[in-house]
Amino acid sequence: MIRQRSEAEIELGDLLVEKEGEDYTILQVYDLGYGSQISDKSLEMISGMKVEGFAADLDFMDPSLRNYIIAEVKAIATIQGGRIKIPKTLPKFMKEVRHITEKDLAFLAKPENPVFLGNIRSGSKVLAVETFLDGRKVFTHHVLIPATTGRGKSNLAKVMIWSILDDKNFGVLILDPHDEYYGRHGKGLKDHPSAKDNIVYYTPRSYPGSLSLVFNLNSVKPWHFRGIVSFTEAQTEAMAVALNQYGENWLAAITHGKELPHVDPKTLAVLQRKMDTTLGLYEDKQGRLQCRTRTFSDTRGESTLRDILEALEAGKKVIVDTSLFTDQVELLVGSIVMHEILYRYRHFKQEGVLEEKPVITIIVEEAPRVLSVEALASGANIYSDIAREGRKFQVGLTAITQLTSIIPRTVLANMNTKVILGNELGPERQAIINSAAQDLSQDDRAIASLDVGEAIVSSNFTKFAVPVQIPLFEDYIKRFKKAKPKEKMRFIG
Amino acid sequence: MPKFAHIADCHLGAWRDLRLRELNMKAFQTALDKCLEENVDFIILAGDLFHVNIPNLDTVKRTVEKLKEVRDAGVKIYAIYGSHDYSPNTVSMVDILSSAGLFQKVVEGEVVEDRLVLKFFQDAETGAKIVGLSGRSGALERKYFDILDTKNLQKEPGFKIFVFHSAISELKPVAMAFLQGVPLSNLPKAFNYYAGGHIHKRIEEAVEGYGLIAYPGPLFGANFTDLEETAKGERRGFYIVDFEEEVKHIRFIETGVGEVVYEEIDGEKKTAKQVEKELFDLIDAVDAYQKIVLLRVRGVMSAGKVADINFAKARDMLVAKGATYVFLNRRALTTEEAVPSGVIGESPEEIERRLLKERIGSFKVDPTLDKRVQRVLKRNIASDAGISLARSLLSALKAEPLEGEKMRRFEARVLAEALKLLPMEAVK
Repeated sequence: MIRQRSEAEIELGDLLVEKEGEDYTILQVYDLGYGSQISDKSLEMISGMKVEGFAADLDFMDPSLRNYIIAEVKAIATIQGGRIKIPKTLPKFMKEVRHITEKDLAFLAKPENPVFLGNIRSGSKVLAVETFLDGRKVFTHHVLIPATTGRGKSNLAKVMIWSILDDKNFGVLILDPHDEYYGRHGKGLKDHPSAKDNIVYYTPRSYPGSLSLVFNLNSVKPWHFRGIVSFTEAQTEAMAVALNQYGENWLAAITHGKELPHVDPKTLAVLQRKMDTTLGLYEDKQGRLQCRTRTFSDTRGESTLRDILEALEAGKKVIVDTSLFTDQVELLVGSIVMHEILYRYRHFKQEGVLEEKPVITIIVEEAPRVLSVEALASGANIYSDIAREGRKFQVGLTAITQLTSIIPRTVLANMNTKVILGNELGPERQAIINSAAQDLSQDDRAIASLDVGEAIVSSNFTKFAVPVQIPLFEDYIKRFKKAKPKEKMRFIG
Repeated sequence: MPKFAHIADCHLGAWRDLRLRELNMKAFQTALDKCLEENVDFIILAGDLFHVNIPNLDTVKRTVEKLKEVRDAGVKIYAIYGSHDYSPNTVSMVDILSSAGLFQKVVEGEVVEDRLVLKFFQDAETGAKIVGLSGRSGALERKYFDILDTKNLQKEPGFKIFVFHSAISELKPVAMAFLQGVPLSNLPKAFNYYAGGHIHKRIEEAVEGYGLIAYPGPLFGANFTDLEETAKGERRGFYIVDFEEEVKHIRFIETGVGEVVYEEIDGEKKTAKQVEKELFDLIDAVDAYQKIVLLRVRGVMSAGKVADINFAKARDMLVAKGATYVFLNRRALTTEEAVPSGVIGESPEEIERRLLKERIGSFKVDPTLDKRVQRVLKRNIASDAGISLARSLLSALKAEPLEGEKMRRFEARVLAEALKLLPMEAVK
């Protein structure tokens, strides 16, 4: 507990320093309260007299000495000889503490493969100390970004990706259900100086330079549906028969209603309807295969999957605008790509070349769609597979969610970095606190009071839960110089 | 009803083997003969008429003869460069033939306020409006697509044909996934027909908002992968398109030159002796008479060496059976006894690409260099651009002297071609 000096101001979340020679301890305020040397009864009496106008100019004698503010703090780090340690002792009694300064955080070195998160924050005061995490470690071991709506989840993800956009150590697949990452209408990742070489943008809309996302049906395999679309046992078997019978043309065969040995025609008919309702696949009157969602084709998109895989393996950032897709199509797209990525990365590990490859992360908004208890009730899916074992193969998840509480603890425990933004829902805060890498049991109020852009980073790769201020994406990108206009291009026909 | 032919990827002068080179020329001659028989109003050549920018004189002579015959018959030919017959600095044979009036190059434009404005060419007989964008080595034409003023092209009324020599990313076949593509969204909309070249596979795709995008593929093929695809059922030929205000009908006309047989032997976990026996048995069974025979042997053998297999005898057996040409591909055949090679591929192009990718992947820019120099190197060498650059350089450096060309002049020409490819970016 710390008593606040009368002219000082301590905020919830403030970082304070208690110094002992060259070494010091960093303390963080997790609660504030009043303290007084006067009894409660006397205080109430004096307040009453003032309120009722009996003695308007009545005041305490030596008020700053008698009434004060008490801050409850916890020690979050000890710096000894310039090295950070987890504090195991209490600071000395009656020692003076002061607000933290940039100099006190000099031990925070920029890691290898840095991912920018924001500036260190003490309460609501932003310090001129930038926070980076080692992206190879962090993305491999999964990231969770929990918050209620409007607290800056997507803003944070955009800032993070911007900071690694030209870093070939990271391949990022972004399933973008709100089409907000690329910046088709405003500022976005497309405005990065090296966006042209490092972003691949798929959208069903016609936008110059973008690619339309069309997977050839040959790229789709029955196991891509696992945990995304539910099938009965009979339907699953029918799909397996189709695969055996027609090879990579299995899905086209089902859509065309081709005969499947030992499969009840009724099952086939239901399967056909299911492919129509989920993927929009149907046979037109001329007997041609059509796709309502325009995401699958039997004539186009043969190299789409390979193009995406190669882009990711080259450390590019692949944005898929899924705003016009249904949930199932969006998640299936992710499933197709991530199945193949996981397969290839397993192979790279076998070959002993995994470390040369970039870390791959997939950004999934509204993650409970694939990671909630309910979603996993019918069995695992590729996203939960990645959460469970992806780290062995440098493949990670970056899950964004409003509802942490419905994600199983086993999955949450694997998400080793949590960038916690504001959350006014008690049960959600508890779920986050219970699965954090550091003990945040005293931070419930601090999390509830986080303002837009304020965050606490709890990670296995930081010694303490780091309070940060994430810049507004539009402000952050102003720091980066735009490429100078090139010389006039000459056309040679 | 007016009609035109759409031909692409003739690659005349490809093939070192004279028999295959001859078959390639025959396919070209057959295609133009069929155009004359069909009374087409005009012919579109969508790039890569020649395999190199300055082909050997015999190839040029025979090409000129055929083109002249077509021109004299009153059939106009409209052409663009392809990635093979384009030259960044010297005059290419396509330019010479165009200047000689054998065909009309339909690529003309200028960069106005950072937008590339292309000019339409109108066919006098039919009124069809044609505009083209040539292919360039290493898919460098993509930068032109990026700045293409599509709005004005779209606004133009009438029957319009867009001629291009680029792979459209969304239409690339999986086997050609390595080709640098142009996004569909970079193509101007509202054309009636998109006459494509560069993809060596027949593709016809009606795309909403665009019209019919078609690639006829090569007339014969320019490499063994093409021939392999032919053997697997890919038809080789060109399109004839009937049109009025819009495309009425499209037909694929096969050249029917050079029947190809493709067979494969899986040597995985077999001994060299077993593989040899399988090879000889297969040859006994195959009908090779007057056919191009492609034989691929692949896999990791459990015992014996590749050299233990008598491939020379296999070749002789096929020749004795009357094969026009025999190609035995054993690049993907190794043995557990052998030290694995660094890079395995099934064609020289694939090996070259993988090798370059591997090398460039391990290339690290010296961090002690000036930051601006580092940036230039990262952009042009330590990225996919580096692979394209290396391949373009290799292609430029393996040029052969022209007939009668003095060595000094040849060296200067090759050097100039190579230097032109290097990214001479000013570090400011």
